[in-house]
Amino acid sequence: MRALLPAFLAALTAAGTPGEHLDVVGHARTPPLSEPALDLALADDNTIVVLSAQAVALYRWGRDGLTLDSRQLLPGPASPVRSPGGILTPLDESGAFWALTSTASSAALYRIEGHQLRLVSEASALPWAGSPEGLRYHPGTHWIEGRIASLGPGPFLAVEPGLAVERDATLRGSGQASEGGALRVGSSLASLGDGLLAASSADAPGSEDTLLLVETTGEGWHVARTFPVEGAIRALAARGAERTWRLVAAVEEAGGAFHLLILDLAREP
Amino acid sequence: VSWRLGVAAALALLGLARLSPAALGPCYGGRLTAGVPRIVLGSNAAQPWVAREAGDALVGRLVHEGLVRLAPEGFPLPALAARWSAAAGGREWTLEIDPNARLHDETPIVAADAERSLRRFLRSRSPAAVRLAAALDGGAAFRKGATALPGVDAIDARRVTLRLLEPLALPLAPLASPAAAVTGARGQGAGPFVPVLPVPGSRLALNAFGSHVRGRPLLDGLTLVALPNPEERRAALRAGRLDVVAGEAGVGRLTATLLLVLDPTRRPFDRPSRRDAVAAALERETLAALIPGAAPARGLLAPHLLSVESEWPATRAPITGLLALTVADDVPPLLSQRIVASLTALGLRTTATAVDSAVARTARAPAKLILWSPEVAEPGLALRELASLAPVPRLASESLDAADAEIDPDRRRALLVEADSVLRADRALVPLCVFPSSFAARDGVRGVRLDAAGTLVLEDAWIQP
Repeated sequence: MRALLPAFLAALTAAGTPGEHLDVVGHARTPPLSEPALDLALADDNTIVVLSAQAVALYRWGRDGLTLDSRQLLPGPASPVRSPGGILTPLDESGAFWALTSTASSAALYRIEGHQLRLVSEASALPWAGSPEGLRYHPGTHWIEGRIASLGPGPFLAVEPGLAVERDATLRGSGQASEGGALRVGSSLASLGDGLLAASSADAPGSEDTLLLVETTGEGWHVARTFPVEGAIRALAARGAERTWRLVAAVEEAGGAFHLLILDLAREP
Repeated sequence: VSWRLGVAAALALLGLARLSPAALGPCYGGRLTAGVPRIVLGSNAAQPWVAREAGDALVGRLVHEGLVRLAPEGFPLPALAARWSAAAGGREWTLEIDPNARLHDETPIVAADAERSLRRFLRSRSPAAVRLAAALDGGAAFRKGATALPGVDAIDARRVTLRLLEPLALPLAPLASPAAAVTGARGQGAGPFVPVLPVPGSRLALNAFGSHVRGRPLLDGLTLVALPNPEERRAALRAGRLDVVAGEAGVGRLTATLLLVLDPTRRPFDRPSRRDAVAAALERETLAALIPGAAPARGLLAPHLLSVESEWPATRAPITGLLALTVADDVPPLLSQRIVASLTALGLRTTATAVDSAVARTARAPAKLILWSPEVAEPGLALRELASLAPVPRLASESLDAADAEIDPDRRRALLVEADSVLRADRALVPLCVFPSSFAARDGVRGVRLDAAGTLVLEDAWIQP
């Protein structure tokens, strides 16, 4: 495990609900980001794509802290949106990903080349697995519109491959029945794989949020662990395999500044 | 806002509702119903007007938008103007219209709309318009009827230039007046909500404006319901018929000043000693204790606008005679009765007459009791507005002029404190208490707040799913 800052141990206590064997084995907090984050994606454990209302940025997390490698303004004129939303698709093997914000008129395809971001293409909608028409934002809002096979017509507050949060904050999974075992979550979502996902909470506004680690079971959702977080979780991204994951959260502080919380999770046998 | 709270519950004086980040939210969708003491639409619902008091500005703030807004420190923030720049040593200010600025009929706003709206504003009875006109090249003559106004010029489709006679501190602050809102040639507004169903005096339905310059409001729409009786509003909130109630104990901030205005040109207050005696006889702590959330006044303005330290005369020389006291109808009866009792105890046989609050402000009377909140929450403009309520000593005018000419914020604030002190020293304006504006909302309603002038702000309101 890479050295993580012990000073941040207090920021995230592991005093959540009694879990099975899922633990945070390391965590760190970055310095403030230069702009509010709408979504995150991980190219590798230490390369983080941050989507804001105006731009997509590529950060590197390492011994020197958080370094901005590249930042590209989103194409086209931006429309004002009071509470904007944004989606990044997971990166493919070539380092390409799509980005869409509710302030932009089109989706944009980027590729990571070395330490740089390059705009490759644009489209009127965000290509999304199981959505023949792609996804768009309802004008002026952060509602995601577009039918997704097995998840319904939307609109959604958040989408992840095989997962969505409906407007009433209900978590939907492509393998889950719509009745029974309903779970309300916030509008930040990340799939960890292996039947595990991370979500922000549907709590009332306040100075704290809760990170939920949720397992899918035959009966529905099971909240395996909860962790209090100082601030509001605005975006999540994760990568990993089998029993270890890196989870990154964009957290909005009470004063409006954003930072990233970097967590290493492990499921003990 | 009606101040007849008459309730024992203490206000939770939380200042501005803290805009904590929401774990879930803000969320779009839904409608709110807000109960307010009254709905003032002006002579033409589509036109901005000069609000008489904070509550009256509510509809204007919902329907209309100006070129700039004010930050809490009094500095301008972008609204329909995206940016501005100064030239000619601070005598020329060019504002650039936001390319996303639209009227309610989706027409893009151009500089000609801004120029036409500024000309309308400069001839209005807004105290901020009076101040700006005095500072603009040709502004004073324009207010008197001249057609030419060299001080306001749409130099191209997107930019309008203001030309001042002299550099001025915070020259754009008057543009934050609700009366300075930009409208289309047919009166179309550009505010966050579009009025759709006005029932004059009792109800107003509004829909979210999808192309508002700061983005569509979070709500789909809202309905304002006029309920003058606070008990009725409270009952409607409890019964779930209202989601938000103005003037109800809940979240509040001190925004208004209870003022006794004495006319120094008329008997019995033509003698400074008599004005001193009245000022000394009215016990501010006792008066403030009668209203939940109120505080004894130290200066003329609410403390968040201008914080001052003050001393009051202690001598209570008796005065004899008759006094006709004009009382604005929004002054709580508990207070006016106590003040009449104090004046009577001083030796003045006092007769109080209640009049409409707007009439009270302009009425000529030897003494009047009014609840005052500023048109624009900027201390320099607020003190000038107050100075127009009574004949003021030349020294006060000089202090205000000096503050207007001072660009350095700290030195300007010191000059404003001095102006406040001079205005009070003459005892023509006797501040008694500072009053809270307040609102209550049902559980699940988020993002409602009060602006610095005490007006309910609903454009960021949302409903938790």
